[in-house]
Amino acid sequence: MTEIINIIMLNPLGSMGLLFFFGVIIASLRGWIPQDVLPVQSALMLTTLLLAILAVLFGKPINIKDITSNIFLHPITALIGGFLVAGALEAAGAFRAAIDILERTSRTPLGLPGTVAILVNMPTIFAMPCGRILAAALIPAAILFGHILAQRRKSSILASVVVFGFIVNAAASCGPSPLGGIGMVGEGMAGSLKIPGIGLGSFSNAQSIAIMLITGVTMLSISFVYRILPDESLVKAEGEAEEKVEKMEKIHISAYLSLFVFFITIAAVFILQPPIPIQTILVILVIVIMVMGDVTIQDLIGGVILHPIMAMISGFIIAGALLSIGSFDVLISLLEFLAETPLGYVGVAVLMANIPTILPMPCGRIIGMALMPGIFLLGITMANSGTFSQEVIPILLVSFIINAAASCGPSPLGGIGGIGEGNLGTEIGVSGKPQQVGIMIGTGIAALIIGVLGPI
Amino acid sequence: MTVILLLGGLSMGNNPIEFGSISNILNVVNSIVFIGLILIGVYAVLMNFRTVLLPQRIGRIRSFGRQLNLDGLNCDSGCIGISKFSDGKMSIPVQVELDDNSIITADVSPCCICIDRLMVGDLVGVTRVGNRIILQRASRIHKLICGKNDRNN
Repeated sequence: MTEIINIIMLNPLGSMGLLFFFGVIIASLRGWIPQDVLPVQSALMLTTLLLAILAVLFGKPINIKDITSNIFLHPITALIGGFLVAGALEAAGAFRAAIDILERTSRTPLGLPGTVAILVNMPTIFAMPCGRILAAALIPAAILFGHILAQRRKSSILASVVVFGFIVNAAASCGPSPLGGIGMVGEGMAGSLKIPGIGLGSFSNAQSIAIMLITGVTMLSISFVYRILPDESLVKAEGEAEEKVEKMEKIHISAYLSLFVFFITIAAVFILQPPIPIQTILVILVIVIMVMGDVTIQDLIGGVILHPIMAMISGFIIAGALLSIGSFDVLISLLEFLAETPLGYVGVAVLMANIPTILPMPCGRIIGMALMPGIFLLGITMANSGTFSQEVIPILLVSFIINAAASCGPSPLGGIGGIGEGNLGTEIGVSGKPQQVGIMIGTGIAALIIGVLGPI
Repeated sequence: MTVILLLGGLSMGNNPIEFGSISNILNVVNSIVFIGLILIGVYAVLMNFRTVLLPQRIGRIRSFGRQLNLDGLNCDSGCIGISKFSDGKMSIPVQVELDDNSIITADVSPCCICIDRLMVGDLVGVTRVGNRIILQRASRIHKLICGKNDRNN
């Protein structure tokens, strides 16, 4: 206890910063700060302002450059580029084409179970910059296939299993996205240390495999442990309505072509790793889809969803303020103290990697960006302790990133899980726990993959 | 376009643009793309401020979907069952009743639906951006001006 007081007294300003940051996060989650009055992003901006005032009072004013230098433009521009691609794909009808392909696949030897396996993993295959893009676009297919599967197997819980599997997959899919995903920031941080094999996309495969496991574990826990039963009449009505709609609509060949070009381009980026920034590739991709799908500029702008961008910026800004007033030094000192307890460094690392799911924000980018410098510093401290090699840094970063990316699924502050709950007519917030179980197991798997196989 | 080219050139910093080599041309293209994306981001943020603070019209959500459906009035979950209304699109159509009692269809992003917890009866601002009518939760200022509480049907 004395040591903790000493750490706090050594840097009272940094300690206050840390206290305010976690205080705002917890108060938002507990509903003490009403979200319709002060959303968590705005609360964090006000916290930054308060910290700036406190820093002046303490005689250590925050240099504005400290905050702006922490706003990394590359992930933000990649995210904007990713949204433009999403807008172009939507306008070209590529998402409807994807639903149509799934329907055709269900009539092949893969059958319904095989198609459902593809469907629930579709968000990670597409890897859009925000999971809500595909959650909104493909949820009709998830409801439809869930309804058909539940009907054929005479088990209504299967509708919940399919829908929430799809939802948690969508939530986590912004982690490995090459279109401005959260992982890109971690890859850049670890890459700055010249760790062999770390570069653009080096965290993606580990994250994608972990997401498949997150999806599977969530589906299993819903089926066998949490038993989330849908409102059958609602699912049946929606499933039948979707069946009728899908049969009526005709999809143009350009929609399939757009989808094909998108997949080929993303695959080429990962395989060939061209020496061109991802932003340029995305803009070229947008132009190609625009030409093929007769897409207008307004369609592209309509594709830009501001919430994730603002969440990312608010995360960067609060991280800049915390860095500037030494809050991360306090955090690292506290974690080093904790590491001397039976928890050890491994226990501390596990705790920190799972913080985003313990405190789930409506967008994983908020806590992801705010705490990533702290996680990076913890990794460096662990590597310098002599017990661990330098590989501990990417291990810690990738597990934190996948946890942060997926954490918007179970968030009670308007997480993606709400989309599934609303559609299935279940109690609000009921899907949180099975998702959290899946995410925590997936976090460990992502760490294991990077630890054992390295960046694959 | 001239501005973007100029900014692209300026972003090259101290390196004079030599069009003789392909890598320099690529650098210029990359810089233009980079700055262009930032400008698009700034435009999107400004448009967002406009739709929140200065919407063209104020109205109330009457139902979710392309058609006016009063059954939706019972929805109180905060995150509506969007599957009925999403046709492979990432925005959700919403029926809004304007102050002159006319009904229009506007688009709202899935983030606004969940994070802003939009429900039937909520006061919203609508703005035409290009060929789309965008919907955002109305700011507190508008609620004060209208002198009505949220979800007051």
